[in-house]
Amino acid sequence: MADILVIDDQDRTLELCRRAMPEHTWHGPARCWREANEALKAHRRRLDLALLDIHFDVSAEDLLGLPEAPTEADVRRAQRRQGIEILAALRRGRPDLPVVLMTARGGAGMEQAADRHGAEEYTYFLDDEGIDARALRGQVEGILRAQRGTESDGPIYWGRSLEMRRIRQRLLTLARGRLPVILGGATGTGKSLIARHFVHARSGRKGKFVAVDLSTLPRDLVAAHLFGSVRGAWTGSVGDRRGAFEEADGGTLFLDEIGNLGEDLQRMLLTVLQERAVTRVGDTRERKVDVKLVVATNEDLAELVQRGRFRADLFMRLNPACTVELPPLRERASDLDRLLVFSAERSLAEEHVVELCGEVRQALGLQGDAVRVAVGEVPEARPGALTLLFPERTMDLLRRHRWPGNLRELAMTVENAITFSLAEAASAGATPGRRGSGEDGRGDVVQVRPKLVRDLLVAVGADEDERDDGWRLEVRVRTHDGLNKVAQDVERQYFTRLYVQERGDFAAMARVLLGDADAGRKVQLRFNQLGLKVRELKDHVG
Amino acid sequence: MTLESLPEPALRRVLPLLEDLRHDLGKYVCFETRFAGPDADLPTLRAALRADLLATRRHGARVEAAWELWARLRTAAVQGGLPAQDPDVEALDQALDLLRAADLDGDRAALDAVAAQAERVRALTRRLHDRARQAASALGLDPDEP
Repeated sequence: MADILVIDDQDRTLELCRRAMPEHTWHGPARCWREANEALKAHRRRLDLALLDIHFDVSAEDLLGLPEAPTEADVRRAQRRQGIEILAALRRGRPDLPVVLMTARGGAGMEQAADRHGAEEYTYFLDDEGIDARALRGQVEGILRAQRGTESDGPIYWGRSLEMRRIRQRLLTLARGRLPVILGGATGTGKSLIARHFVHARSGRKGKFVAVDLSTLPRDLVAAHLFGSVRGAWTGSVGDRRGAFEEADGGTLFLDEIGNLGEDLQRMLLTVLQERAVTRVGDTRERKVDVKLVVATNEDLAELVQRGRFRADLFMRLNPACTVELPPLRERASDLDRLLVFSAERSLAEEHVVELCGEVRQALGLQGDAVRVAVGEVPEARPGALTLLFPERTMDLLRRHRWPGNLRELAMTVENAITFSLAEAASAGATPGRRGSGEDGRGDVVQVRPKLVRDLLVAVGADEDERDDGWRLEVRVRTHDGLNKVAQDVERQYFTRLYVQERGDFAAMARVLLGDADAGRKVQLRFNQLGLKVRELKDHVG
Repeated sequence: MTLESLPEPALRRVLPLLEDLRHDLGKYVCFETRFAGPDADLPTLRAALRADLLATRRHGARVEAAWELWARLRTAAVQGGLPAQDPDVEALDQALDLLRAADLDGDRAALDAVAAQAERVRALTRRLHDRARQAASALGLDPDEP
């Protein structure tokens, strides 16, 4: 089941789609860009797909792309190509929403025009003169299947954003090659999970996956742990021991926190990479190893090289040109709802949570085994199914949180929230007169209440940047010869901070400042008025 | 006289009008019928044909039947320079006359014939537009930027 928006000035497409594919939730029709924009905002986290017509027989005030003082011919021309204009406007706020462009022409002209607006991966064409229920269903199902097929891999949720899909694709290529892979990204962004369940799993290698966290090993033991040792290599070394490289022979070796490796060990690692052979500590014999090396760091290795803390030759051997940087969770806002559901579903499979669900079902008198996760609104009741609901107010808190611990923090927050909510529901259900914890007293719904989530988020002490009433950041107030200059200086600081944080995306800045991604132009004008220069900040946004 | 013999200024005027024709009439004259598919039951086929032919284009509460739409778009195109004697224009005249006279309360065979006629209108509008695009290309015009 998917949520699909129809953008078309005629009602008939929507009516037919509803009839042909009743299993999906259909929205619209949005008859012009204004209506489409409202619908995109209203359903922004739930839409899976949009069907967009090309030709819009609407009045001039509802058309995009008209020149000033348009002639009748301009209006007709804009009507004929309105779908392209709408696609361009839509892409500014939703670069990764799959859009099926229903074009009668199917010719190069329209497709090239659509491609000019980017996100080709997410734009599909349907010759609507040949459209029938079967063709449309085939296309819609194909897109949804393709999208969902790459949305997750086992415990990894990639999501639907363009950036994450590109990362997945890049890692897929790197996994198959022989060269090392560097995974960058802050703590909790899923580096080890990806190394084990994606890079190794997709490498086609038959050997083991071996992980070594270099930040937790005593310095003196690292060499023996990595390269192995022979009897008598040090006091207490009573036998020969294989190291991680030998263990991972034919497989993948994951070295976490590579930046922690000392100078001497860096040299030894470089030799192993050059010779593709390892020499155990205390031994002289080389042993050939065939290892796919994946290293992870939350530091900037290039900077460590510049500061002399990491060998330049080893850095170059690690294939730095293909470093994959995993984004922090706060930059994956468009996928947060789905990430949460993914995380919640994984938690619901944990043994202790399964037991709790059983207790809740018993207390609430529910017969079935199914448990489903819902976000936002209460879904329709399904006989016997227990629904775990993250209501809109809870979601607002989660969406505004900065997630310094990234995916790890999200998983823990979700699991705690589920455990406490279920425990509360079980005890409330078992108490006479307290049944019905859900909205409108629905006995099959267990709500994750905002208060619980607020307590959980505050408990990790990470809610300092953004609160219910807005952003909080530190600014430096300097003396100027006028209040306007002081105000502008402060404004310049938060514009700069926001620009860097949103990676130079004015639409995203407008969403934060004005609650409207379409006001990006307005924000950009102000940015320019403040004398800020994109080229001066570009190094900060990557 | 045919479409291909039009001088450049007339072709420039006619091209977008034929695009409208293809979209407004050609797309919608068999939209629901095609959607219903060849295996649709009789009531579904009848309802689809009624929607496609009697309310081909909807502008709020106002609806246009296929032949009304053809009359309006044909007038505009002919005024723009489209030769009324062009074989596809004459074929469309004929097809729309047949559709106007069709009995939508008929039996399965009659309704299948009406659906085939509607499909023919779609094909004719498409061909007319494609021919205009080719004629524009032959004159060195970009048919997407007329």
